[in-house]
Amino acid sequence: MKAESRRREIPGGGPPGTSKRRILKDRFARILVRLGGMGILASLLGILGYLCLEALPLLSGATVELSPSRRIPGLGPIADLLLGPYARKAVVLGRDGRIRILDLEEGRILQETPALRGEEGKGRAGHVSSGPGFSLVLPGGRIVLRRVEWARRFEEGSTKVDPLLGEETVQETGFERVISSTAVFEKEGGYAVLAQSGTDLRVVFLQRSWEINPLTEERTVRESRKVLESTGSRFLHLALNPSGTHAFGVTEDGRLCWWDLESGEAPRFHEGNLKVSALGILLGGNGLILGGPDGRLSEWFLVRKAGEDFSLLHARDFEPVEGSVRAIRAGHRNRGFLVASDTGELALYYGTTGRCLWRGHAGVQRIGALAMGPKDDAFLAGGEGGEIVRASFRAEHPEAGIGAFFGAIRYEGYDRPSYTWQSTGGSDDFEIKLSLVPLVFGTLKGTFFAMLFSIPLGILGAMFVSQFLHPGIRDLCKPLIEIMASIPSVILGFIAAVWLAPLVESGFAALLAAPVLIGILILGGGATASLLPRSFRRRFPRGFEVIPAMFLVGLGAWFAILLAPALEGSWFGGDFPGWVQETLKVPYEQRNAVIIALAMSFAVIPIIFSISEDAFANVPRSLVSASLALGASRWQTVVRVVLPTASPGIFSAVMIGLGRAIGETMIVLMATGNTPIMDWNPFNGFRTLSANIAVEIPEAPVGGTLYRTLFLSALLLFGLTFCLNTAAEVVRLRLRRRYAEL
Amino acid sequence: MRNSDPGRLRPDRRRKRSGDRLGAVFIRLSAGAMAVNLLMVLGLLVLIGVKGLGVFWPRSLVEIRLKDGSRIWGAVVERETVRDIDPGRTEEEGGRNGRRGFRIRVRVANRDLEGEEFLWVPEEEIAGIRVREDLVRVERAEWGDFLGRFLRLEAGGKKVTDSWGGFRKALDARDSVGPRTDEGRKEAWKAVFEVAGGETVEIPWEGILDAIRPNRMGFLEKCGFYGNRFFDFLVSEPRSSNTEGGIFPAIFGTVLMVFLMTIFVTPFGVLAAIYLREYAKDGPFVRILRIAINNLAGVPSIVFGIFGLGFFVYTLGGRIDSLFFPDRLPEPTFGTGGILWASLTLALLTVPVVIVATEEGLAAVPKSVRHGSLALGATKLETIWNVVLPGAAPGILTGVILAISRAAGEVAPLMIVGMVKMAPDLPLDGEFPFLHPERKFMHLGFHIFDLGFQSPDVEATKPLVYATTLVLVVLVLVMNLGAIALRNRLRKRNATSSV
Repeated sequence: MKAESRRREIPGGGPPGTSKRRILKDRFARILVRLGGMGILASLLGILGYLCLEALPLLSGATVELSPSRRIPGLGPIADLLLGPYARKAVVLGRDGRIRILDLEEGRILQETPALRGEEGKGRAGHVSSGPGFSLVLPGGRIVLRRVEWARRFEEGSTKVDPLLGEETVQETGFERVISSTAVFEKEGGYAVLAQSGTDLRVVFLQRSWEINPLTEERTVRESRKVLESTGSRFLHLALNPSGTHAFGVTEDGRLCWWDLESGEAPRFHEGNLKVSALGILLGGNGLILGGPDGRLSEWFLVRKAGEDFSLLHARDFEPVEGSVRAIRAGHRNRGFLVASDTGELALYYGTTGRCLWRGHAGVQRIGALAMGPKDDAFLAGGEGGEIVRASFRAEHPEAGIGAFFGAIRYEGYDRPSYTWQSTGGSDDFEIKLSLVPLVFGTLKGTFFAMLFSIPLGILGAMFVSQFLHPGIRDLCKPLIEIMASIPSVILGFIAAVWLAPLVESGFAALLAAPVLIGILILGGGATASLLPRSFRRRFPRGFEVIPAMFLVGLGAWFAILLAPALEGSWFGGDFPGWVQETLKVPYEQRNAVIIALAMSFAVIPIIFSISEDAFANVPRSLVSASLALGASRWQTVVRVVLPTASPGIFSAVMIGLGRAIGETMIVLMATGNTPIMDWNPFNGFRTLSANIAVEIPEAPVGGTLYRTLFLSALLLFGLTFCLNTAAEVVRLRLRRRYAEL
Repeated sequence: MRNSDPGRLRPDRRRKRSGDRLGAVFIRLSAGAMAVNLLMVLGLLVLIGVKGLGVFWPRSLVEIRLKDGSRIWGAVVERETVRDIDPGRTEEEGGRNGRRGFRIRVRVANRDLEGEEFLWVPEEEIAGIRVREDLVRVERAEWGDFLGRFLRLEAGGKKVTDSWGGFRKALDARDSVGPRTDEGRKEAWKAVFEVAGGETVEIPWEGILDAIRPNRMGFLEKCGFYGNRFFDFLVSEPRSSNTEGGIFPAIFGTVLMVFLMTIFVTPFGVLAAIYLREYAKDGPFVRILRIAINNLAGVPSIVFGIFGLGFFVYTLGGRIDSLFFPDRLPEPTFGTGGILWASLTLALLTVPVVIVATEEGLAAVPKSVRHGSLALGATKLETIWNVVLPGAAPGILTGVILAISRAAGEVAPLMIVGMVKMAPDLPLDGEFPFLHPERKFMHLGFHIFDLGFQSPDVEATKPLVYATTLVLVVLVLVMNLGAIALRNRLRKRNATSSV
C-alpha cells in the first residue's frame, strides 16, 4: 500500500531538481531489484526443473526406428542370424545350410560359404542358447559349430567391421540321429552342446574348452561328454546357460524340466501344461524366457528357498504378443530381450521389471530368426522368405520405471518379490536392483527415531524458555541453542560415530536409566524445594528453575553411568548387544538408529526450539493476562491458552524439523552402516536417500541409469521437503494473520 | 512487553489449587527438558574442546611391565571396560559371559616396527607401571612418531655425542643454521635409540623433525611446546597422506571458497531482500516468494550438491570446456568439480540466510527516515542507497556471517562438487591468473570426514580429526557469536527506534 503511493510520488511529481538521469537510474534499479526478487523464484524453479529434466528420461521406453523390410537377392529362407557392430553387416545361416555375409547398407551378399564344406544342403539349423555362432545338425548325429566374431579395422578415418568365421568344428554326439539340440559359445572360445537322440531319447551334454598357456602358447583342449539320465520324454526345446551349469528343456507334453549338469542328477520337472513355442536365456544365464503359441511370455528362474533344494519359479508374465511366439533373442548388455511372433509382430521387453518397452510390426509375416546388435542398439529380423528387417533402437534406461523404483520385484534367485537396492556389480550375473523403497524406508526410520527424541525436548524447552524462564537468563539460553544449530553436521556425525557409538554399545543401560533417574531427581528436587520455608524461597525469583535442573540432569546422567554396569548385569546379563541378539533375536550394529536419533537431535532440536519459541512468545500477552486474571494457574494458562494459540506455529516447527531430519546427510552417512535394509529394529543401520546420493554419485556414469536414478531420489527429497516446508509456511502465514487480528 | 514474567501477575495467596501443584511438576519437567538441551550443547562443546585441545599436549611416557616379563613404552591414552569372553569361543559365537574387565590403550608409536600405533593392554596382565624420565619422543618425517631411549648420535659410524644435551644442541643448531650443514657433511648422521624390546634402532638425521623428553619437561615448557605444535598444525601442509602434519590447505581452501561464495551470495541476497521489503506489494506473488525462500532454506543440502554437479559442473562446465578449452578435452577443465562451482552451489544454499537477515536489517530502518529522504527529493534508489542500506548494514553483515558459518561447515554438497582429499595446488597462487576457479580444493569439513572415515588407519588419525574439529568449531562459533551480537544490537536499536 505504502509502496504504491510512493511509487506514484517519485517519478511523476518529483521535486524540480529531479533530472532525467536520476529517474532513469531509479527505473534501472527497480528492474534490477525486481530481477533479484525473481531470481529467488527462478533458482528454486530452476533446481526443480533441472532435477525433473535429469530424471524424466528414466520413464521413457524404447525408441525404435524400423526400416521397411527388404529382400536381398539370392537370400533364401533364414534359419539363424547374427548382427555386427554399427548394424552394418550381418551373417545369415540359411535353411539350405549355407552361411552368407550381408552388407546391410548396400543390401547385397558379400560372401557365401557352406556351413560345412563337402556336405552342402544337408542338415538343419540347431538352437543356440547364447554366444556368437551358428549350429547345424547333420545326419548321423553330428553337429557343426561355427563361431562368428567381428573384427574392426580403421580405414580412411572410419571404422570398418568384418565378420570372421571361425573354423568349422564337427562335434560327434555318438547318436545316430539328433532330434533337438542347443549350443553355447563361450567367451573364451569353448563351446557346449546339449543334444537329444532320436532313437532312444537319451540326452548328452558335451563340452569342449581350451586354454592357451601364455608362455608356451600351447593349447590344451579339455573335452567332456556326459550322458544324462534318461527321462523317456521327447524334448521340443532345449536350452543351456552360458556357464554350462544348468540346462532346461520343454517336453512334448508341455512339462518344463531342468538339469543340474555339475551334479549329473536326474532332471527335475516342473509339472504343468505349458505350451511353448520358443525359449531364450537372458544375460547372466539365470532367467529363462518362455514364449507360447498363444503369444504368452513368461520368465522362469531357479531359486533356492532356505533349507530347500533348487526349484524352478515362475517369476513373472509379460504382456502377450499377437500370434504365436516364433523367436526370442536376449540383449547383450542387460536383461532386455526381443520377441517375434508369427503375425510379424516385434516387441522389446525388459526382464527384471517385466516392462514392455516397445511393440511394432515388422511387415513380414513369418519371422524365423532375430539378432541383436552387440551394443543393444540395433536388431535384425529375418523372414522365412528371405526378407530382412533392420531396426536401430535406443532404450537408455530399460531397467528403470515406476515398477522398478517403487514396486516389489522378484529378482533372479529371489523366491519372493522384494524391495532391494543394489546398484553396482561386476559381472553379467549381476542384475541391477533399483528399488527406492528401502531408501525411503531408511529415511523415514532415521527421521522417526530422531523426531521421537527431538520433538519433546524441543517443544518443552521452547515452552519453558518463552513462558517460565526468567528474562535474565533467556538471553543466555537462546544463543546457546543457536550455537547448537550452527555446529556443522560433519562434526556431529564424526562424534556420533567415533565417540558416541562405542559408548552407547558398552553402556546402553545408562541410556535407558538416565531419563528415569533424571525424572525422579527433578521431581524429588522440586518437592524438596517446596518444603523449604517460604522466606528462604522468596529470595530466589521464579524462572530460575533451569539452573538447579541442569545440575540435577547432570547428576542423573552421572548416576546412570555409575549404575550402568550393575543394571546391565541384572537386566541384560551383562552384555547388552549380546542380549539384543539372543533375546530379541535381532542384530545389533554399533552404528544404529539410536545413535542417529541422538546425533540428529543436535541438528533438529534447535530448529524445533527456535520456531516454536517464536510461536509461544508471539501469543498476545492480553490472552495470557486475561487467563491469569481469571484465576488460572501458570500451567493451566500455558496448556489451555498459550498452547492452543501457538499450536499452528508448533506444527510448522515440527514440519521444518522433519524436513531437516529427512535431508540430513553427513550424520547418517557417518553414523550408520549405510546398509539398505528394511527393518524397524532400532539397533541396526539403514541407508537414507540423501546418504545414498552421497555414496553412489561419485561412481555413477553421467547420464546413465544410476545417475538419473540418483537425480530422481534428489527430486523425491526435494518434493518431500517442499511439501513439509510449504505446509509449514502456509500455516505460519495464517497464524501471523490471526495474531494480527487478536 | 514480551519480557514480563506471566507468573508475577498471579496473586500469591492462591497457591493451594490442585491444578497448580500438578502444574508445578510439569513446569519442573519442562525445565528439565531445557536443561537437557543446554547440557547437550555444553557437553558437546566441552567434549570437542577437551579432545581437540588434548591432542598436542605432550603426554608423559611410561614403562609398563607385563606379567610375562616383557615391557612396553608408551603413553596411556584411555581405559575402557571390556566384556569377558569364554575361552574357546568367539564373540560372534555368543561367547560373552557377562563379566567385565578393564584394558588400557597405549600409544606405542613406532608404526614401522610394531605395525600398530596403539596397543590394547588388559589390566590383569600388567605387573607395574612407572614413569621413566629418559624416554624420548621423536617426531619423524615418515612413519609418525617414534618412542625410545636415546643412546648416541653417530656420524659415519663414529660417535658424535651420547648425551641428551649434546643431541638437543645439535638438533637446535641444525634448525638455526639450516639444511646446509647436512649437505656439507660427507658421512651420514644418524641417531641411535633403544626401544622397549631392547633392540637398537637407527634413525637418519634428516628424518628427525623434533625430539623431546616429555617426562623431563616442566609445565611451562610443555605449554610452549604445545603452542608451537598447535601453530604448526594450523600453518603446515599435511604429510603422509594427510595422517600427519597440518591442515593449512584445508583452512585456505575453506576461506577462499567462502570468500568467493560471499561475492556471489551478498548481492543476490540483498537485492532479493530489498525487493521484498522496499519494492514488492504484499500479495500472492510475495507470498509465493516467501514460500520459495523458505523452501530454498529447507531443501536438503545434498540436493543442492547433486544439482550443482549436474548443472554447474557437467552442463555449464562442459559447455565452457567445449567453447574455451577444446584443446584440453577430453581432460576436463571446468567440466569437473572445482572451487568456483562449489562456491556457486553454496551461494544458492545460503542465500535464504542472507535474505532473512537483510530483511530484518531493512526493517530496523525507521520509516520516518525513509520518508524524510523522499520528502527532500531523493529518488527511491537514492533513498535506499544512501539512507536505508547504511542503516541496514549490520543486518546484511549478520546475514553474510551466518552464511559463511553455514558454508564453512557444510560438507555434503561439496563432497560432490569439487573437494578432494589432497589438492596438489592451492586454488590461489603466484601463477597467472593467480586465482584458479577450476581447481579442486581442500575443505575443513571434508577433511574431517575423509580423515575420520576414509583414512587407512582411523585410530591413528583420530587425534588429528579431533584437532581439526576443534578448529572448525571455533571458527563457526566465533562467527556465530559475532553474528548474534551484531543482531542483538540491531534488535535493540530496532526496538528503541520504532515508533
